[in-house]
Amino acid sequence: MNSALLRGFLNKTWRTSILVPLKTYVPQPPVLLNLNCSRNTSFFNKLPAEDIWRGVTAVSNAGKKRGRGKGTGKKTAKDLNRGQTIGLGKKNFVWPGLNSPIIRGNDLIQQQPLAENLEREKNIIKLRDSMGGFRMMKLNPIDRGWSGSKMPGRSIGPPDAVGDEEFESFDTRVLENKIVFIMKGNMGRKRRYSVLSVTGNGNGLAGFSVAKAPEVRTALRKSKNRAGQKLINIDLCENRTIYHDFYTGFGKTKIFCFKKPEGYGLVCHRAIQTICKVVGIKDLYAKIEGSTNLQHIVKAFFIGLMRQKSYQTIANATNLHVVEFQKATNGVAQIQAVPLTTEATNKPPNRIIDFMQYTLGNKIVLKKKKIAPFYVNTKGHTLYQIKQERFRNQANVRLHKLVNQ
Amino acid sequence: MSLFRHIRSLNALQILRPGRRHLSTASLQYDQDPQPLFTDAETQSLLQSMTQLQLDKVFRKRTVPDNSTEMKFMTPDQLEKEFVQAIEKARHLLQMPPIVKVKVDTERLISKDAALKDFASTKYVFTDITYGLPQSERKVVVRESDGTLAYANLETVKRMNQLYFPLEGRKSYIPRMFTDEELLKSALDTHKYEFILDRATVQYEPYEPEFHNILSRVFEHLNESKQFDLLRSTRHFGPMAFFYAWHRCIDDLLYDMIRRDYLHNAAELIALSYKIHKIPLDYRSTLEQISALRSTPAEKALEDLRNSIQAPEERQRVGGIEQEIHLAIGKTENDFASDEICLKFIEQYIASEHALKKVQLELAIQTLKEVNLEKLQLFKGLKKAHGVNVN
Amino acid sequence: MSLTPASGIGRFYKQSAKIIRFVRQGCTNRPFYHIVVMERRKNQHQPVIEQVGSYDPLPNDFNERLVALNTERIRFWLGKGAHLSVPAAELLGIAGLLPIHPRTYMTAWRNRRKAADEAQAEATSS
Repeated sequence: MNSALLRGFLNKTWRTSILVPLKTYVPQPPVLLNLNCSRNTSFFNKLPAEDIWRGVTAVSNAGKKRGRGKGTGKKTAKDLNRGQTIGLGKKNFVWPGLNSPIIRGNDLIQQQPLAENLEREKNIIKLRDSMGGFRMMKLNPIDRGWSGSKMPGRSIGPPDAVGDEEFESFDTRVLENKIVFIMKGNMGRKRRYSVLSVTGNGNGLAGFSVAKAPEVRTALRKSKNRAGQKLINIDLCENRTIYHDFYTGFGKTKIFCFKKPEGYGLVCHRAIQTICKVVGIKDLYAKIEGSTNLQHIVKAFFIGLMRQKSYQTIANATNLHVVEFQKATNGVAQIQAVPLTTEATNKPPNRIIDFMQYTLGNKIVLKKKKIAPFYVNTKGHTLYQIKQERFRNQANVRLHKLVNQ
Repeated sequence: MSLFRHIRSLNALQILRPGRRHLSTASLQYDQDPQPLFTDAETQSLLQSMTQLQLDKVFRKRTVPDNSTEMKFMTPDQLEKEFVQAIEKARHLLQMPPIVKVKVDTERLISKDAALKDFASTKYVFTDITYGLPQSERKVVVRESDGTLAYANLETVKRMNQLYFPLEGRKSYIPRMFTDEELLKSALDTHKYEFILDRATVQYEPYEPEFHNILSRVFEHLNESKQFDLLRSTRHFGPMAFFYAWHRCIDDLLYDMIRRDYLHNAAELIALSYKIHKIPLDYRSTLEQISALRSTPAEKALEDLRNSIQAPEERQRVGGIEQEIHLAIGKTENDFASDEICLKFIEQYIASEHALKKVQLELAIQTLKEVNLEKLQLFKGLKKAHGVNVN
Repeated sequence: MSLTPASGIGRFYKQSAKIIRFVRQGCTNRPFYHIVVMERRKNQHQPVIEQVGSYDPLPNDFNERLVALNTERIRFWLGKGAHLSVPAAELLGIAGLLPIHPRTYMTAWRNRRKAADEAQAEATSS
C-alpha cells in the first residue's frame, strides 16, 4: 500500500495520479512537498475525545476563582459523532450486516455502491456550527433598544404580579445596564450588574429603580419589580404633555422642559424619551444642560414632573386668570383657570408677569440671533439661488398633478 | 429640465379648455334680483339671529400649519377686552357671502378699425396692472385679429385677474369637484356641505351663474338630507335660510328648528318668508315682542363668556339660587314667555295656506309643547321650593 | 441671467434720456418680454429703473397673446418725457393707450395682401 502511494507521489503527473480510484479507500493526506513529514498517527488518534476536549475547554484553578470560563466566552465541547451514522461515510455503500439485513426475502444482498451524497460534509459542518453554546436570537428592529443588541431602551415586560394585583398595561424599559465591580477582601474584584429601569402604564403612573445582582436576568427582574413598588402619579395635560414649562436639576444635571402642542413629538435625550413613552407624554421638548449622568437625568426629570402645578394653583397663587391662546382655534382666549379671590384682581400687577417666566422659576429662554451662513452674500450662492428659483414651486406642482391627474 | 417641461405641459392641460363644460344647471334659480331684499337691514338681522353665534363651533380646532399655544396671565379687564375682540372676530368670520343676481355679459365695444384686419394671427389681451385697484375695477381689453377693440368678457377678466393677482385658494383651473358629477355627488352624500360651499365661495364670484348653480344644488341636497345643523353657526346658514324662504321650502328647516327648541328662529324664518313674498300678515309686532324678551346672539355669547370666568361659589353669591335654576333647566322666564309668543305665531303659519308639511310640523309642535310644559312645571316647582318669586 | 425686481434697481440720472422698451427674458426658442423703463443708452439686460408690464409673444391655450400694462406708471413716465421703442409703441397702439402705429397698419396691409395672393394662387391651381 505504501509503495503504491509512493509511486503515486514520485510520478511526475502526481496530481492526476491521485485521482485514480484506488481499490481500498484511505483518506488522502494533503499533498506535501516534503515527503517525509506525513504521519498517520498522532495524539489526535491515540487519545480519547474527552481528553482532547478538556485540553481546549479547561480553565485553570486561578481562573476558576476569578470566574473565568463561566460567561459568554466559555468554550463548549461538541459531540462530533452527531450527524454521522455507522456504515455511511464519504462513500455511500450498502454493507449487508451493517446498514442493511443480509437476507431480504429469498435474496442475498451484495455489497453495492449507493448514490453519492455530496452534501454530507456540508451538513455535518452546519450541524457542528449550530451546536454552539448560548447564541443571541435575531432581534426584531421593533424590539431594539437605543443601539444594537444592547439592553438600554429595550422593554422587559410588566413587573411581576404582587399577590392579587396584576400590573396590567405596564411596560418597563431598561435605561442603564452596566457592570460594576466591588473589591472584596477574599476574592478581590467582585462583578455585579447594575440595572436602572423605569416602568409606567402610559397614563400618568410611573416609577424607576436601580438594582444590582450577579446575573443580568436577576438584576433586570429585581429592578423591574422594585420600580413597580415605587410608583408615582403624574398629572398630564390632555393626557399627552406636561402642564407648563419647567426647570429642574439634580446634581450637575439641569433640564429645561417645554410644553409643546399636539403632534410635536418627543424632542429630547433618549433617556427622557423612554421615560416619556412609559409615562404617556407624547409631545415635549427637553434640553439638558450640564452633566448627562443618566441617573441624575432620571431623578431630575421625575422631580420636575412631580413639582408641576395645576392651573388652578397657579391662578390662586398669582390672583390672575390663566388664559390659553391656541393658533389652531384662530387665536381665541380659552380660560384655563380662574382664581378663587376676585376682589383684588382688577389692580394691575406691580410688574409684568410672563407665564413662561413664572413657571420656569424666573429664568428666561435665551433667544439667539440667527446669523446667516458665511456664504450667503457670495456670487456663487446668488447664482445658485437664481437657478433654484425655477423649482421653488415644484413640490406644489407635483401635488397638484397627483390630485388632478 | 425635462421634468420642468413635463410639469408645464401638465399645468397647461389643467387650465379650463374652452371645450370643458361646467355641471348642468340646477332647477332652482332666483328669478328676480334678490340683492335688495338680502341686503335689507331687517333681513340681515333676522338671518344673523338664525345663524346663532356658537363660539365653540366658530372657533373649533382646525388643522393649521402652526398649532403652537401661548399661555398668559390676565386681569378681568384684559379678559373683558379679549372677549369683545373674540365676538368681533366671530362676527367677522360669520359674514355671509352675498346673494346677488347673475351678471350678464354685455358687449362693450371701444373701437372698430377695418384697416387693422389681420395685423396679427391671434388676439391680444391687455390687462391693466395698476397697483391698488380692486379686482372689479381692473380693465381688461381685447384686440381681435380683425381689429376690433372691446372690453373683455367676464370669463377672460376673471382669468386675467387670477393670473396677475391670484387670490389665495382660488385655482386657475376649475377644481374637479365642480366639473366631475361623481365627485360632487360623493361629497354631498357624505354631507360635506360646508367644505363645498367654502370652496365655491373662494372659486367663484357671487354674481357668477356657476356659483348660483352650486348653491342651489347644495341646498336642495341639504333639504333632502335635513342635516341643517352642520351649517348652523357658519357663514352659509344665512344664504341657506334666504334660499329656502325665497323658494318656499322652509318647512324642513322649520321642523329642524322646532325639534331643537329654537322657536324664536322658527318664528324669524316664517317672518322672513312673509317679508320676501310680501304676504300681508303682520310679523313685525311678533318680532318686536320676541326681541324685547331675548338678546341678540352676540350679546348672548358675550354673557356666556363673562359667566364662564365666574367661579361657581361666586355665581351662587351673586345670582343666587335663581341662576342655578336657570342653568339647570336651561331657560329663563323670558325664554318661556317668548316661546309662548313664538308658538302662537308658528301655529298661525301652520294653519295658513303657506305651510306644506302641516302634519309633520303639527306633531313637532305638540311634542315640544309637552316638553316645554314639563319644563315650565319643574321650573315653577323649583322656584317655589327655594322661595324665589314666581311671576 | 439675472432676475430684475419690478421696482427696478437701476441707477439713473435725473435728466438722462429714458425709454420704455422690451427686455427679452425667457430662454432659447421661448421669448418673453418685460416692458420696462430704463436709461436709453444702457444694454437691455442692465438693471432697469422700473418694470411696467410684460408681453408674452407666444399664444396660449385660448389663442391669445397676454400683455400686462401698468397704465398709471406708463403715463407717468411718458409725461416725464420717456421715449418709446417701436415695438413698445406698436403694442401700446394696439392696446388703445396711444394712436395705432403706422407700422401696425403696414403689417396688417401686407398680411392681407399675402392672404389674398395665396387665396388667388389656390383658386387658380385647383
